[in-house]
Amino acid sequence: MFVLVSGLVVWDQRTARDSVDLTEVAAAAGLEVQTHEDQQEAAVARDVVCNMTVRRATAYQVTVAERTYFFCSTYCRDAVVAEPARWIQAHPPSLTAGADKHLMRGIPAWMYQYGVLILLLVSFGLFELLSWLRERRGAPLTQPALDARQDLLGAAWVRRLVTWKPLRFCFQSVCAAFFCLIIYAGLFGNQNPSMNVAPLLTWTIWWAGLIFLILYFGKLWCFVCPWDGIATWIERLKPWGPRQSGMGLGLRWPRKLRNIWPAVGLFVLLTWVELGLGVTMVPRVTAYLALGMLGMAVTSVLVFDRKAFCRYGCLVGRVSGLYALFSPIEVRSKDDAVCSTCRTMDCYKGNAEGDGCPTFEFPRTMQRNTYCISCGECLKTCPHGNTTVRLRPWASDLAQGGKGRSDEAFLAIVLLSMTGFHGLTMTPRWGEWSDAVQSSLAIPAQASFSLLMVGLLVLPVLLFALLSKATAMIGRVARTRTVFLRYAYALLPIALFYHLAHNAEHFLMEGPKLLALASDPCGWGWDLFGTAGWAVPPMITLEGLWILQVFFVVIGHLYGLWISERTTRGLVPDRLRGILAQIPMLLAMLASSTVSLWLLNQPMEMRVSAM
Amino acid sequence: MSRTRVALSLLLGALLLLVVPSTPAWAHHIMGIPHYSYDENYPQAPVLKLIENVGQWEFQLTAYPGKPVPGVPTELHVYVVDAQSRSLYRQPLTLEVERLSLLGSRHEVFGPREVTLSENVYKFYPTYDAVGNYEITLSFPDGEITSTLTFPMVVGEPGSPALILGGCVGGFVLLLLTVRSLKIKRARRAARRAS
Repeated sequence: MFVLVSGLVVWDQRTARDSVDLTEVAAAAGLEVQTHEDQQEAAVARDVVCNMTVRRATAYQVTVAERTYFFCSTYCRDAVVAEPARWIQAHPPSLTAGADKHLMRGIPAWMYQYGVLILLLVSFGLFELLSWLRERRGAPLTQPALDARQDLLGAAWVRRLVTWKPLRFCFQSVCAAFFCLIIYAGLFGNQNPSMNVAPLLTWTIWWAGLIFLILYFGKLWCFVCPWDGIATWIERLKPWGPRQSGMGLGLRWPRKLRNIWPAVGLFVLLTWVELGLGVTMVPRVTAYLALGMLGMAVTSVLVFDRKAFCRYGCLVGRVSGLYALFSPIEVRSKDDAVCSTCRTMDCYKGNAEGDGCPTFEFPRTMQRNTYCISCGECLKTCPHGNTTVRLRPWASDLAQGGKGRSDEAFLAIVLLSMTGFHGLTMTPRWGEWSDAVQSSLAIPAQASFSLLMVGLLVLPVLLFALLSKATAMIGRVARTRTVFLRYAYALLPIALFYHLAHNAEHFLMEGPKLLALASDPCGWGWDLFGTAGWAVPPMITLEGLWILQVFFVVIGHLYGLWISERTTRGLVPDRLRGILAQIPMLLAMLASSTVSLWLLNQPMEMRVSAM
Repeated sequence: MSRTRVALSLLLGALLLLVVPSTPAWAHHIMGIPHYSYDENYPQAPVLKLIENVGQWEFQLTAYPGKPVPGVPTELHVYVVDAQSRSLYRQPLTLEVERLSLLGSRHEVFGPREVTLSENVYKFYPTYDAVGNYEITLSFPDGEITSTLTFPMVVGEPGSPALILGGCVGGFVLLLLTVRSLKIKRARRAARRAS
């Protein structure tokens, strides 16, 4: 998939688009064409219809007299071809009434319709057909476990490098430097978000890129996390090595909070603050949020035992933990037999080489990535060298099933609804709905936003509970709760891939502006690397992005179906009943993926800070 | 040269000046003050002057007074020239003032209002309703796009980041002291038990 996505981006950037000459049409209409010689020489241009910055070499073009106009897609180009008088003049209007705002077109209607068609075709029957074919070949009905694994620490030098004690410190200190830059620029830099690196680096590069990082490298973020790094250095007063005696009190985390509900609450709160108060556009508040996270991490390390905050409270760790069930990287014990004869349990307790598992996991019994923070301590402490890092098929943790936990299941549904909600708030429709609620209930904008957010948070949970009830009844499963908990994990790939589709828009379209801001991170008029004046075009054209987005949604849906089918096999032994029992869950997944495509079909208001 | 001849020459020079065609001097004045002495002589009240560049244009925003008082009308003058040729920007300009809350929400206190050039400057008269951080946003058509420019404005003495940062550091030190004292207390208790 990595090769496919990268290949698409490269192909997209190397493909020149066709050009249309409107000189005669414009002359016949008597249009005044303004020419800027300096702009003609630049590598990028601005689409006069949607205001997007486009790369000239790969943009669609319309030529009028000596002036060439560049467009993000055929849609903007065709708008000009259809109504040249409206767009080609000295000061043409833009799609967006606001000044620097850039309204990005959603996927075209035909792509949306074909996408839904593909979802419909694969939702009902594909996996049953595969199952039937397998049965005809005489293979067992129950699906095989995904056992394929590749030990990444097989080479001795790689293991030595990974278990080198200062390694994590090196990575964390680099991230901590970026973290300090964000704090400094956010607090003391220019508060215009388009001139300050803090919002772009936080919300467009890190927050959007984090999902891609999880897709390919699992919990790598936790390995380099600056919050954990700084908190640990403060508590231990040394950069690396086992804890031995630190400054912390080492109290036990409260029993009632030994779940991820605190992280779920923080995630919902962050979404509300991020979207409801628009903090992505305020450098100073971005810095406050980063400091707040650091404060929680430091307090937790000083007061509680091990890394209790990482396990129970960190919203980034828990969201990435749940998504990492899908990731192709895992830290596990190599041979259970070796672990069963081990009497020291150093991986849990720690020794002179490293700490016991900071998130209270026991590698011998650890089956999932959820709570592992990839710190590598167990690799150092195991006296038998029996823990390792392995490459595995995607979604391996999800495929193995299990009982499920209510806090995790709830977070899975919250992730699905909140990522959709995030996309929805960026569409013009959201403004219409919010205004309608505001005027009909005579409440302020903030209350209207909160009300709609609560509605969109609760509604999917209720609908999923109802559909779980239907599945339980059809499948004759004793408890609806069991169905709810187990099928909720099947929604994770749908949430993850919609998240990727949405974030690709931010990351690929807005991310390149970092090159310009790197020279002037605080917006003080510096030009450190000579790039401050660069107008960097997106990494992909709009049409390339659309293909990528639809691809992501369909892939996520396929994985969701696959997990759902495996869950059904485990829950409902009877095949025909299983097919029928699965229908309500298929409807839930189909609705989620269709909403995802519909959201991608809507025009998106991009962040001013990054355009 | 005799004194009479000097006096006649001066008189002739003065008469010649009368016949030289006069031209409007607006291009060399800002607010009626000659541009070369503008900064030295005007205004008498403390002002805030902010200068920003957008593309070819140089924006100079002058606020009277520079430290506004809540509820008291103020003046904002915007002077826009081409950075190279120093020729004036003459198209309408829109200004909007918003109050920024701590968590980023914005409350509009003025505009958006569009004005045209008057005596070489654009004049706006906003009133800031409360102590706080404000953002002044200027919008103007620039070639094919509408560009914006923002200026910060502080009214009164709102909480500064330094204050919050100081609070964070203070809280951190307090936490460290509390944790340390608890550890010492715990160690002493353990020692007492052992003895």
